[in-house]
Amino acid sequence: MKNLEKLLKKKRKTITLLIGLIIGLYLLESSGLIRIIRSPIQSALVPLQLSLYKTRSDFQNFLNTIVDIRTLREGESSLRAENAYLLAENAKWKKLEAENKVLREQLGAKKIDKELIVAAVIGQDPLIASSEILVDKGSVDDVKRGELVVVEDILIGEVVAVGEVSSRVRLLSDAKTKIPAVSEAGARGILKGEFGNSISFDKVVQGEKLARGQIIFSSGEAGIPKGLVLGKINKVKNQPAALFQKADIQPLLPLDKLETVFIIKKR
Amino acid sequence: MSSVVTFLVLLIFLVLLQMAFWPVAFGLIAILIWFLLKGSKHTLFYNLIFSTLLGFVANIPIWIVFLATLVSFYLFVGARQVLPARLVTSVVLILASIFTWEISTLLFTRLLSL
Repeated sequence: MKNLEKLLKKKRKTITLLIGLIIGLYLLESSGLIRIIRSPIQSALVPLQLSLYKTRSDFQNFLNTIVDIRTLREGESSLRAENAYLLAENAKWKKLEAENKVLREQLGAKKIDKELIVAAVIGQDPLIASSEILVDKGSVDDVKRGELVVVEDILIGEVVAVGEVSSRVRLLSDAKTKIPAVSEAGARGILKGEFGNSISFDKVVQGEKLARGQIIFSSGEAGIPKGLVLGKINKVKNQPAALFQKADIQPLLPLDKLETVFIIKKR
Repeated sequence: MSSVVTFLVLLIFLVLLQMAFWPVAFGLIAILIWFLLKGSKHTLFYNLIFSTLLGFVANIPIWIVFLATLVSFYLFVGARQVLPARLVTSVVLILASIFTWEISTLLFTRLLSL
């Protein structure tokens, strides 16, 4: 105890300095004064970040090609079958879209176009435990906190922090993500990110039909537009004794390999 | 003086590496290795620079990163004084510090968003 007191006396100056620094940084951050130096440093580092991230993607692709080369032939035949199925489905959707357009014109309903900001992914999350990406658009480009990030109609995540020239996007696989969702068969539940960067479709009442391959969409609640694609069911975990059903979800796009995304502007 | 400048350039590179390649606090590892090799001289300054750079690049409040870095750094320094000075001990302590940094950054960020 005496030793500790001695040590504290000896280090009093350092401890005071450290506490002062933390309080000073907090005040600089909360008053917004930090922007004066943050902005030029961020602007200077963005090109470096982008080139490093691209290098990482190329390197990862190269490694993946070497690893996958054996399984490519096996995968090819199943992909051919899946491609044929998707082509048939696409033709059906095109027909429905044309019908939809004619009906809209007849009813005089306007199609709501989303205003999108194109953003390049320049980095990932600095922590292992969370799942976020960094994009090269910030407050200068009118990006705001809470805006959704998509690729086509596939939801990628939400903007959680906006800097001058870059923003942080929380991905669907982050443990903080919770989105009201509905399966293509109509089963309602909550899409949640899990620790370890996986995604689950939880709180689905027993009796609802969940099957592997079903697509999960946003249900239109909690401020998220209806019909955005969230992923597809990979594995159903149905325990009859449990109150709810749960399923593992596979994103339709590899969230860790994204290069370009689109931010939906809030109106 | 030149070693300080070289180390600062290395810190910039390591922060970018953390953001682009692998989410591990390489900058903190470098500071801990510097401490093992050259003692506590300049380490506070390096901790501040590392936290500032990472805060800027990752859009995280700098004081959170600085606080987490200090907790991890002084945990390492304290344990190093108590435990025997062996290579294995140092490696284990570096890993423990990285783990502490990860957990404390996550914890402080969560507390802030409450």
